[in-house]
Amino acid sequence: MHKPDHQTACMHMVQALNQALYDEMSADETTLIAGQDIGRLGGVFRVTQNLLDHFGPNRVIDTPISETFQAGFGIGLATAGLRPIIEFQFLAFMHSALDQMIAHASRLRHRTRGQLKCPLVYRAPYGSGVHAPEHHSESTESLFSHIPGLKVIIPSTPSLAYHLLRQAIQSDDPVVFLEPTKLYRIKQEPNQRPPKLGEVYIHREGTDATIFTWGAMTYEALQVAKIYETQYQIKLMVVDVSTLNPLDEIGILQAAKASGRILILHEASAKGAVGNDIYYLIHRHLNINAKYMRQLGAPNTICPYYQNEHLFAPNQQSIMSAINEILL
Amino acid sequence: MTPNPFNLPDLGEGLTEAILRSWHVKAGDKIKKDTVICTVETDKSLVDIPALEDCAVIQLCINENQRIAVGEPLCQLHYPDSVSLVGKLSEAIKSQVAQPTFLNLKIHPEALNLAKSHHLSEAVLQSLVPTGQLIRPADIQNYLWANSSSTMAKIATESLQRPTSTIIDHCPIYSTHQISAISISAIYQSLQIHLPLKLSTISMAVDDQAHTHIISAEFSEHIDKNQATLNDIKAAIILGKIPQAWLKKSDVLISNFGSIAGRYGMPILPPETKVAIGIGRSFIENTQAVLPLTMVFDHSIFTGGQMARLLKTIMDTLSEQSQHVCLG
Amino acid sequence: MQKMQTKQELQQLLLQLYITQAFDHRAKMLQKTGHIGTFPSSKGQEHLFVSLANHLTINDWYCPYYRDHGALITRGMPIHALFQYWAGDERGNSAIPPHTLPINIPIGSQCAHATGIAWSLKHQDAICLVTLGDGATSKGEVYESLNFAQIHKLPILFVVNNNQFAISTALSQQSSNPLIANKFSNIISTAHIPHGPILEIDQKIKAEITKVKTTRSPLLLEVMTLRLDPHTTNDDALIYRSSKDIELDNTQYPISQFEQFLLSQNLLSAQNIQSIKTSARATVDQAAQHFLNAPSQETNHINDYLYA
Repeated sequence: MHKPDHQTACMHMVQALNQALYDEMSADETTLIAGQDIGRLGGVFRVTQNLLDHFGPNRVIDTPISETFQAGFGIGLATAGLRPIIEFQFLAFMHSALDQMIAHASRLRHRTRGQLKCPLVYRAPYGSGVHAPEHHSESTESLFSHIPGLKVIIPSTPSLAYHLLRQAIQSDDPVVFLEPTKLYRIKQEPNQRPPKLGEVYIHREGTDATIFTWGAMTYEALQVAKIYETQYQIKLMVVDVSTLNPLDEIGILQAAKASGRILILHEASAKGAVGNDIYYLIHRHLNINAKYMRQLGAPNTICPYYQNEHLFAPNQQSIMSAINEILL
Repeated sequence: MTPNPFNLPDLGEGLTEAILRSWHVKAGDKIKKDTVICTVETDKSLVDIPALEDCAVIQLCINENQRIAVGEPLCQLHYPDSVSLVGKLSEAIKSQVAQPTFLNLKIHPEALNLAKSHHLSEAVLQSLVPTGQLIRPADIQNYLWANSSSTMAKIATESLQRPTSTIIDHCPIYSTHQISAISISAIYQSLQIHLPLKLSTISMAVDDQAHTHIISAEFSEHIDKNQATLNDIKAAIILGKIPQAWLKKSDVLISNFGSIAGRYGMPILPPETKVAIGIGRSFIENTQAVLPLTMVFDHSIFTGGQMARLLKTIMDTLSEQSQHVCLG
Repeated sequence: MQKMQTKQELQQLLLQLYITQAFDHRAKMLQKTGHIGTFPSSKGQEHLFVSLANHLTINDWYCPYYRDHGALITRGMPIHALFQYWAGDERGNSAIPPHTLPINIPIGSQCAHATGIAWSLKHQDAICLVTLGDGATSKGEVYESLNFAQIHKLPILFVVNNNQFAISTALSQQSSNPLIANKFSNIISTAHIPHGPILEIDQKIKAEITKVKTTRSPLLLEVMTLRLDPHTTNDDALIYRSSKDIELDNTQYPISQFEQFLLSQNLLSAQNIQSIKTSARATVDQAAQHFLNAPSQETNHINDYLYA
């Protein structure tokens, strides 16, 4: 377990998530976590390390390997008045649980007109870039963002992960909380301001162009923004969308207005994706000329097995090319 | 003894560092393939790192219980038949960060490149836009047209003034499957046979519907080996995935206009290019499928006979390779 | 039969059965006149759901599938609200009784929810009861839930209403074992209640519920029933069953047999039975009128309850 001075310490995301779980479970005894290998092992990425020793097997539940069951079990716990956090080992394995999420978790509150609620968090690591086996690198956040009633949250730094996970657990809605695996073990300085679930997070102010992004791409965008500032005196605003469903439409429009030159950057393919919603939102309300708007994502293909995964997600070079185009 | 750094490998899943827990070898040891060199502890587990080949330990670089980042040297090893290419390619791709100059100017990266190639001074650049406003490539192009009418025009007229000659023929083919990739591969191989012609670099004109990109031999070689299709290359260009180093001038230029339309076409010979080969659209001639090839060359460098022999080699190779595809 | 019911108890049970019967009947009529949507009748199975609800307390959790009208009404769900639900108005669900999940449409998924609820009851007196059809036992989630409940010895009763049909699919095409209880007996303790008189089934159900309450361990209970109506009002059973089979089943209608039993044993008079029936029908018809007269819901309801 990590020390509670997380605000000052330089942590990586796994440590921050572990700390958030520890703090929230200490603060609220109705919280409990369940998932495969999360107890003695501490999760395949060690996010739940030592929690079994602290909170015991009644609140740290090793479940059999069935994602559908885990998802439905969580709904039962939440309905009975608890606040479960369900860990899935990888996003791609969570797909079999989509039925429980779509048919039940997302609509329980709506279909009982508020009589029942479903306060639970589905956590999973996601995204490419860590040389993982097949089915471990998908970026299907848009599938979940398409479901009304589900909140979809993606943190991009350790301190955002800490605060957003705590807020997600406290939320009375079902939350899909996706953690970019590529950032799991990169230590980053704490963010100055805490984030607010449901609102965009502005990592860096700027008026020359605005980058809307989330997850591991935020890290790349910030690196690019630094290069532009030091080498070309160009200031890029980096907006971490962070809540993909429901979208913070006002926050997005304000940030877009600041520069009028827009890059929407994501790791997933743009086909049927939430990036298109952001593009359309900005286009519809601000009427920005299309030549000043770009969307950069992966090609519309299956995320390649890791020898070729570098061809999939945008990289600093392709981000810079896109920025150069909208700055012309 | 040639010291080769033996670095902490990427142990996957985004791990960025480890602690060296114990050494199992010491300086001076001769060790066999698969011998455990050291044990490191990652955030997830203890890992024994073995030698991949027979080698000798020259020097240990870090002490036990010291922290080490992925990619940093654990020790120096000597390999009896030492050639290790691993790492060289990735180094080459890494070394592409732009050199900072004109640090006080707010300038578009492409504008900065233009300014540098035309040796424009900081004072000139500053005069182009009001203080604090972004200098864009268009600002510099306007300046160049206004102030040195010859620069651009010279390049264009230069190529027109060269004495060129053209040869056209129909190459019999036995399959049109992947004919673009096969043609490029055949041209590449034929040039190896005709090396005395000093045609060492080869490039391709690839069209993305907006621009024509010239990409060079290293990529053609990729096509040969991986049977990648031209669509992959196009996608890579559009996504900005092709390293800048590959986009350069060369001795031979291939234009594959026939993949769109056109049996015959005479490619322009860009400055510094000695031969341009156009691949036309295939058609059936007297029951035989043929691929029209057009060769434009600089007659001040080559004789007609040299070029006719080169064309024959290309056609023979291409026919044969298309037959292989046909036979499976 | 373990124990003779008092006259009052028999009257009460008969009233509950008649109300369920009348509810099914009125719902089918309302469906045929366009007032409610597709409706799954529980005819022939009324006694199962009434008994399940009767032997639970309101602190026990009840997780229904979609044929449990008798249980929901017995647990206190206003009848007009149940009509409202089947008429496509989710306000009906806002009247679900305490410790009761809303009707579950996707087959078998309710078992995982019930298992989660049972986990929360580990250190309480209450238990969790979940119902499912014989078709649902083909779903992975059912196996997954039984397995987990057994690993952790959860206080949960899985009740399989084996009416031998999943829409048109007969049990022989659905289950490798003709007895659902046997299919799962290697995973979890199971019990089987064959066809029989209502009072006998009622007492057996009571015994199994008591067993789960005292052992605080999971149990799968299979109850054999007859599906006397098609799967739903949109189904036509004659496509996959002979009219002879259906007629034969109808001669076994448990409520009719119960009436005969009460009369033959002189437990209740014909007049008494008739007045209970009339009263049940009046209650249901009044609720139907209430449902029909209710103002339609506000259109903003489609957004109001999406997020907390």
